[in-house]
Amino acid sequence: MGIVIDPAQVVIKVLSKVYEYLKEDPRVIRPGSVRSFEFAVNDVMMRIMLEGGVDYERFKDIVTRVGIENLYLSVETTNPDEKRKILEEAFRRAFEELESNEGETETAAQVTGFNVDTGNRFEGSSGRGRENDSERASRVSGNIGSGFGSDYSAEEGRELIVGRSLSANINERSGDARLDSLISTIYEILYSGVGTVNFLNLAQLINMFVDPYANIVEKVQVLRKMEPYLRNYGLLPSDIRRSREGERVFEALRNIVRSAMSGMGQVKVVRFTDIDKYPTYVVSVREYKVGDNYFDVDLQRTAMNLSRKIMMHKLFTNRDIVVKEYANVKVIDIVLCLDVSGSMRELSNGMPKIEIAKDAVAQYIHFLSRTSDKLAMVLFNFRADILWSLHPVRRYWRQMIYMLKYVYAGGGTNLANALERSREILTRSRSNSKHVICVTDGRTVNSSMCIKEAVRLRRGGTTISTIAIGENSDDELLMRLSKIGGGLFIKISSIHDLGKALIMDKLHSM
Amino acid sequence: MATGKDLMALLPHLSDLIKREPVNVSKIVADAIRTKGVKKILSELEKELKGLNDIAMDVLSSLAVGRHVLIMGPVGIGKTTLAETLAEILHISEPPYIEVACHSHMTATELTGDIDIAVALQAGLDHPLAYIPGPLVMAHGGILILDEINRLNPYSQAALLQVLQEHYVFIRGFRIRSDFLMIATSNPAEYSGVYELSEALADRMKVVEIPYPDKDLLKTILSWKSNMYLEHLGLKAPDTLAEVTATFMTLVAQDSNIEVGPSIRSAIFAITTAMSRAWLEGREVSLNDLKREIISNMVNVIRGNFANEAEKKDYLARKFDEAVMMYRRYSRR
Repeated sequence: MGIVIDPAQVVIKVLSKVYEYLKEDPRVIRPGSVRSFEFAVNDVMMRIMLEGGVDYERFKDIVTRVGIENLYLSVETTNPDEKRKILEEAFRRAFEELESNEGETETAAQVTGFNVDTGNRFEGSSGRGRENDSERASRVSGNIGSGFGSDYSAEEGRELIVGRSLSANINERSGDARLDSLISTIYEILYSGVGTVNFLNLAQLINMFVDPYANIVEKVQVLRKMEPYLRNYGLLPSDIRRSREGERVFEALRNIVRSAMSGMGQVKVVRFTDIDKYPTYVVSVREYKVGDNYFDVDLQRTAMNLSRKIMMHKLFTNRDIVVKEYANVKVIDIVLCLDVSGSMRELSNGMPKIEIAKDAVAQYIHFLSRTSDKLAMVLFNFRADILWSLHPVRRYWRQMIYMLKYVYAGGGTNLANALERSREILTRSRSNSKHVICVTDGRTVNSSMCIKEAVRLRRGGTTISTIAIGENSDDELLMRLSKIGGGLFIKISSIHDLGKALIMDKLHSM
Repeated sequence: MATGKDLMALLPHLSDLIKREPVNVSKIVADAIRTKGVKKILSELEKELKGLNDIAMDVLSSLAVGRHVLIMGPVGIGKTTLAETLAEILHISEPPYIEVACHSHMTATELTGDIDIAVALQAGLDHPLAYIPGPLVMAHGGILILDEINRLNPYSQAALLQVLQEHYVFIRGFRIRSDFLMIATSNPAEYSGVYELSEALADRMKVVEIPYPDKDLLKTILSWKSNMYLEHLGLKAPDTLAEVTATFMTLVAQDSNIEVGPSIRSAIFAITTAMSRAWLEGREVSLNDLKREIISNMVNVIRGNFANEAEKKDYLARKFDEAVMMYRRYSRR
C-alpha cells in the first residue's frame, strides 16, 4: 500500500470515463453538463465522508448511485425510459475499465484506508471539544496527504485561529492593552457585522474603554487617543481639520445657504403641556415693578384684575399687574437623545444630515452654556449608549462640542433603548425637573417598548419632548410619546430647522 | 409571546434586505452535520420515518456540497415529511425551513414578493408592509422546500432559476441577495397536471428517488405508524391487519393494470379508520372492516385501466380477498 491514491482521483477518473461513454453512445442526445459532473464529484466525496468506513463494493455502489442521481436531469436520451439503464451501464463500464487498468486490489485497499481515517470525523463532535476535533482533522489530513481531507482540515484550523484572536480581543480589556486591540476591534465593527445590527455608534465605542458614567474630561481623553483610528477607518468626516484651519469662506457660504434654506422649512409644534400641571418653578406672585421682564407677567390674573377694575370704572395701577416670581436657582437636567442611524448619512442640501444635526446640537449647547442646566447626551442607532452623562453645560461646553465633532452615523434605529438609557441617567440625578428630548428622523423598532419606557420616565417626573425630522418619521408614535411625557412634539420638514426646534423646546420649558 | 406590534418589528425592511451579505449555506449545513453527527441525525429521523436512511444520506451529502435536491417518488411515501424533518433536524436558520406548496397558477411575484404601491405611497418604501418578501427572499441562509415542484408553471420556474443562478432577486430594480439550498419534491412524470422542468433548472438539481418499500419494510411502517395514530384511543392494531394490508399493497403495485399504486398514507389510514370504526361500535376489528375501509380510502388514490368506479371497487375487493388468502396460507405454514 505504498502508493497513495486519492479517492477523489478515482471518482474523477470514473466520471470522466462515464462522460466519454455517454458522448459516444448513439442513444444519448446530451451527455450532461459540466456543472452536474462537478457536483457529482463533490457529492460523492461528501457522501463517503458522511458514511464513515465503506468497503470497495459500497464505494462502487455509492459512486454509481450518487453519480446517476446528479446526472439524471442533465443527461438526455432519445428514450427517457432507458435513461437510468444507460447511465448504469456507463458507470459499470467505467469501473470495469478502471479495474483492469490499475488492478482491483490496490484501489480497494486505498479506498478503505481513506475511509477508516475519515470515518471518525463525522461521527459527531458535540461531546468533544473543538480543539480535539481539529487535532484529529490535522492527523487525518497528514495521512491522506492531499485532496479533499486536507482542504477541510486547513479550513478548520484557520477558523480556530480567528476564533482565538477574537476571544483574546474580548478578554483583554484593561489599561492601554485595550487601546492596542483597538485596530482589530474597529475592524470587527466595520467589516464583520452586517451593517445594521453590529454597527457601533461613537458612544458604544468609547464606553468599551471607559465607564459610561465617567467624567466627560476622561471621555475626551479616550476620544483623543482613538482619533487616529477613527480617521483611518473613515468614520470621521474628512473636513474636520480643514474647516478648522481655513476655508472659512466655504463655511460662510454654507451658512448663507443654510439660513436661506431654513426659512423655507416648515415647523409644526404640538403642545401637550397643561400649563397648570407642567412643572413650573413659580414660587410666589407679586405686583409689578419697573424693570420686570414682560414674559414673567401672570396674564390670567392680570386680566382678571384689569377687567374687574374696568367693570368698576376705576383706574388701574401697577398693583394690578401680577408678576410671577421664580426660584432663584433653577436647574433642569436635560438628556438629549440623538438618532445616529444610517439614514442620518443622507444628504440634505448637499450636507449630510448628521453634520447639520451636530451643528444644531452645538448651537443648542452654546445656548445652554448661559444657563445653569445640566446636559447628557445619548446616541442611538441599533443600540443606545451614553456619550456623556449629566454635566453642567456652563462648565463643560468645550468638551461637549469637542466630542460632538466625532459623532458619526450608521446602523438601525432603536428609540426604546435610548429612552431606557435616559431613564438610567436620570435616576442618578437629584434634580426635581428632568427633561428628555428625542431627535429622530426614522422609524424605530419595538415601538411598544418605547411607550412603556415613556410611561416609566413620566412616572419618575420626567418630561419628554420629541422632534421629528422629515417625511419618514413615525409621527404617531412620537406624538404619543410627547403626550405621555407632557412635552412638545415638534415636526420639522428639514433638518436645518433642528437648531430652531431645540431652542424652541428649551424656551418652552422655561 | 409576541404581540401584534412586536410582530411588525420582526418583518424585514427593504433597506435591510438590500444590505444583505452572501451566505455560504452549504458550509453551514456541513457544520450542522459535523456538530450533530450523522448517527444522531439518522436516529432522529428514525422517529419520523423508517427505512429512508440511505435516501436521507443522499440528501444530506448533496446539501453539504451546495447541490439542490429533488426528491422524487409516488404519492404518500413521505417525500415532504423527509424534507421537512431533515430541515428541522439540521435547523440551520430560524425558522428551520421555508415551505412553498407549488401550484400551476403560481406567479413569479408570489415567489419573490412585490412592492405594494399603496402602502409605499402612504408609509414610505421602507415600511415593512410596503414590501412583504416572498419565500425566495425569506429563505436566505436557510432551506427552501418546494413541494410538488413539477406543478410549477414555466413563468415561476424562470423566477426560481434566476435566484438559483444569480443568487439575487430583483424587485422593481432593487437587488436583494438570497442564498439558500432547495429541497424540491416531485411526483414522477406520469402523474397528471405537471409541467416539465426547464433544462437549466433541472441541471441545477440532483434527483433522489424514493423507491416503493418492499413488503417487510412496508409491514413495519404500517404497524408502527398506525399504532402511533391509534395511541390516543388506547388501541393497538393487530399484526394481522398490517400484514394483510402490506400483502395487498404489494399485490396491487405489481399489477400491470395499475398506473398509480396505493399510497402508504392511505394504507395507514385504512388500518386506523377500520380500528376506530370498530372502537366506535365497541367490538373487535375484523378483516371485513379493513376491506371496506381499504376500498373507501384507496379508491381515489389508485389509477389504472378501469372503465368506472364500480369496476375499480370490484378490483380492489378482489385483490383484497386474494391478499387475505395469501396471508392465511402463509401463516398456516
